Amino acid sequence: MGKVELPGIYIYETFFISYRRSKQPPNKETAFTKAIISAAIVHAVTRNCSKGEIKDCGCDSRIGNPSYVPYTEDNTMNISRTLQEEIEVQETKWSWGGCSDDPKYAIEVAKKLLNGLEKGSDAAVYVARHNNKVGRDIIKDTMTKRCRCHGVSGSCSLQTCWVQVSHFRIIAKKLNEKYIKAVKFTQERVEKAIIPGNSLRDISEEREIRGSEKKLVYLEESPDYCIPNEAEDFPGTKGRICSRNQLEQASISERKSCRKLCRGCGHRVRKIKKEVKKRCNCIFAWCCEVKCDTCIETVEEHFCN
Amino acid sequence: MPGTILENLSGRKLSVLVIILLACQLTCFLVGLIAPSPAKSQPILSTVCVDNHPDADKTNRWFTRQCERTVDLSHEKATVGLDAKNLVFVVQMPLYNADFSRWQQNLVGILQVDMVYQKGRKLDPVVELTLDSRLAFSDKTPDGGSTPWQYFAHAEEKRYMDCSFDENSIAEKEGYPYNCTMVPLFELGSIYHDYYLLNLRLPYNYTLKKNVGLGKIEDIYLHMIHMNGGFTRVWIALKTFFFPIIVGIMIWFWRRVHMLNRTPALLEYMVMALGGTLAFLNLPIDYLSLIFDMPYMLLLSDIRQGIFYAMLLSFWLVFAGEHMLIHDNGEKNNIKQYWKHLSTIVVGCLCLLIFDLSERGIQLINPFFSIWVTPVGTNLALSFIILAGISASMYFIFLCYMIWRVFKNISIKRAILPSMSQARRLHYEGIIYRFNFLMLATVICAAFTIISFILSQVAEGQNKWDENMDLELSSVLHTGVYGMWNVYICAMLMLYAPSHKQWPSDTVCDDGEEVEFSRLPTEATPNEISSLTSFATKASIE
Repeated sequence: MGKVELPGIYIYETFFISYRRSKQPPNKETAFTKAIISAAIVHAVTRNCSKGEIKDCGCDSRIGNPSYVPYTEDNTMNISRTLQEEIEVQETKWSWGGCSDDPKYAIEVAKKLLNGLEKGSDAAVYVARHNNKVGRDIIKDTMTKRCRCHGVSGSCSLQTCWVQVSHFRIIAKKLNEKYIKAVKFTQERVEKAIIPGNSLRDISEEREIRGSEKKLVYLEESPDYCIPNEAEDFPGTKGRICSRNQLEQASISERKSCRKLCRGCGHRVRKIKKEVKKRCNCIFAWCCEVKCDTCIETVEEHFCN
Repeated sequence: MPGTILENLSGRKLSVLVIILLACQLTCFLVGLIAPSPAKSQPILSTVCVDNHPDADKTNRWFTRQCERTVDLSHEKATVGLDAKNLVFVVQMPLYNADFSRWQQNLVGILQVDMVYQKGRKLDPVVELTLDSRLAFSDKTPDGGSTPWQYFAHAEEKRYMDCSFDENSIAEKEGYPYNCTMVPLFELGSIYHDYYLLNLRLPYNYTLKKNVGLGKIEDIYLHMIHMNGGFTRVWIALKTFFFPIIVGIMIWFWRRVHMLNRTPALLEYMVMALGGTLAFLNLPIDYLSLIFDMPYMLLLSDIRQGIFYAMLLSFWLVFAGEHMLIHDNGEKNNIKQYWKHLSTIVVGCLCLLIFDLSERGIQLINPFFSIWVTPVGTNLALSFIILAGISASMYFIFLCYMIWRVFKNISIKRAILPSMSQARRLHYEGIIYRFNFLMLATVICAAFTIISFILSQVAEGQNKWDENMDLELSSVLHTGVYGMWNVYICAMLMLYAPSHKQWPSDTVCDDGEEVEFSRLPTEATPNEISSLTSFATKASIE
C-alpha cells in the first residue's frame, strides 16, 4: 500500500500527534488524529488506485461483499481460486459500463483497516470509530465535481461528469476546522446516543452517535501538553522549536507559536544564532528549482528552554 | 380526389395506431434502463519518469509505468539536478489490467495539472502550457501478452489554463493547491487498439516562451472519457431495429404514391426525404468500426445527425407552408418557393459543418488539435457558431410566423363551419382536429427533447457524490429521445401516405353551396394532397 504522509503544517501546534496500537485517551487530539489518519489512508489509496498501482480498485466486485477483508493471508487463497472467473467478470464489466472512478474501494480499505484496530464495545471504541468515519466523510465532502461536454460537434448533448478527491491540504484544512469545533460527550451520553442494537458484531461496524453529525467527538479533556507524560506518549514542549517570524507569509499559529509553546507552558524562549547554507536568488522555472545561488545566511532559531 | 390516410382513417384505427406507436416509444425508454450511462471517465494519475537522454530520438522510445527511475514532484529533493526536458509524464490507458474494447467507440483525454503555491512566485491568472505529447498503441497477443509499443501520434500544442488562488482565506499558503481549469488534450475517433500510452513532456524554453508561466506542478491527471460498451450495444440495437422498419415503410409509402395518377406532391417528397435521412442516420455502419479502424466515425455520426436535423427542420417549414398556402393561384408547389426560409437552415448547417470539419476533421490527422487554442481559431469557431445561431433564430421566427398564420386561417374557417352541411362539417372538423393533433405531437416531441436535454444536464450537474448512483437517467433520456423521433417519423410516413378511399363529400353532397365549394379552381390541381389544403385555399380566395 502507498505511504501515508502528513504535510508539515502542524509543527507549531501545542498538541502532539502519535499513533500507536495502544489505547489512546479519547481526547480532542486523539479524535483529530484518528480522523486525519483515516482521511490520509483514503487519500493515499485513491491516489495509488488512479496510478494503477493497486489492482483491486476500480471494477472490483468483491468490495461490495461484506465478508471481503483486504490484505489478509488466508484471503488470498480464495482469490486465487476464482482468479480466472474474476478476470472474466471484470472484463465484461469494464467493457459494458466502464470502471467506477470513485474512492469507494479506498474508503472500504480505510474502514476495515482502522476500525479493526478499535476492539471492544465501550464508549471509547464507538467514539473512535465515529471519528474514523468523520475522516472518511471529509474526503467525500471535499470532493469536487468536474464535467465535460463531448456530444455532437463537442456540444453538451452528451456530458460526462466525475468527482475527484481534493488535494490533501484542502482536506487537512477542513479537518483543522473540525478540530476547533469538536464536541465533548460524556460516556453516558455516548451510550445513550448510540442507536440501539446488539453489540458490535462485525469488526468494522459503526454506530451512529446521535447529535454528533459530521463532528469530531471526544470524551476527555486534553492533558496539559506542556508537561511530558511518558505513559501517554508525549514529550512536553520543552525543546520544541518556535518561530518569531512576523512576516506576512507567516501563519497565525506560527506567529503566536513562541507565546503558546514556550511562555504559555512556563518555559523561556532561547535564541540561537546559526549559520546555514541556503539556496537563494532562485529564478523559478518549471520544473525544478534550477537557477539558484548558494548563500550563507545567519538565522535565528527559537527554542523553549 | 384522394386525401391522406390521416384524414380518412377512422377514429378507432387511428387510436390503435397511436397506441402501437406509444408502446414502441415506451419500449425505447425501457431499453435505456438496461444500458449503462452513455460515457464514463477514468482518472489516471501520471507516473513521472526520468528521461536520461532527453536529446535522443524519441520516435520509438517509450516510457511506461515500469520505467527505470520515477520521481515524486511533491518532494523538492527528488528533482534536484533534473531539468524540465528530463521529466516524462507517463499515462497508460486503461488502468487495472483492463484493455479497451472496440465497443467503447471513442476516447477523449483531458488534462488536469495540479499546481501548488510557492513562496515568492505569483502565477498569472491565465497560464500558457506547451505540451509535447506522444501517443503509442499496443495490442493484446493471444498468449496474454501485448505487442511492443508503436508510434501513433505526436504533436506539440499550446493550451491555456485559468488558475485562481484565494489568498485571503488560506492561512498556510505554501504548498496549497491552485484552483486550475482542465485542458482538453486529445480526441480519438475510434478505439481500434487495446492499449494506449501517453508520454507527455512540458519543455521549458525561456526565449521561445515555452512553459515560462508554470508554477510548481505536483501531479498531472489525465481524465479519459470513453463511450460505454453497453450503451453502444443498446444504441446499435435500436438502430438495427428501426432501420428495416423505416425502409419498409418508405417503400410502402412510395408505392402508394405511385399508384395514383399524378406526380407526387411536394409534401410527399419532403416526407420521403425525411424518411431517407432517418434511414441514413439509422444505418448501423457502426458495426464496421468493430472490424476496421474508422477514426472518421465521430465526424460521420456528427454529419449524419446534422443532415437529419436539417431535414426535420425543413420538413416543418414546408409542412406549415403547405397548410398556409403561399401559392394562392394554384400554381404547382415546389421547393423553390421556400428558398428564403430554407436558406436559413442551409446557412446554419454549413456553418456547423465547417466548424465540425475544422475541429474533428483536423483531429483525424492530429488528435491533439483543437481550434479553440489560437485566438484566430477561437474567433473563427465562434463566428461560425454565432452565424449558425443567428440562422437558427431566423428559422424559428419564420416557422412561428407560418404556424401562427395556419392557425389564424383555421380559426377564420371555423366560423363558417356551421353554415355547411352536417357531413361536410364533421369531415372538416375531423381534419382540423387531426392537423392540430399532429401539430401537438410535434410540439410535444420538441418540448420533450428540450426537457430531456435540461434533465440530463441537471442530473449530471448534481453536486453531491452519492454512493448509490445506479439509475442511469441520461441513457434512458438518450434512447427515449432517439426512439421518439423514429416513432414520430414513422407516424408521418404512415399518416401522410395517400389514401385510397374516396371523399364522402364527392358522392354524398348535392347541396349547391357544397358543389360550388368542391368545384373551386384550385381543386383541379392534381398536386393538392390534402383536403385541408384545399379548404385553406378556399379561405384565402374568399
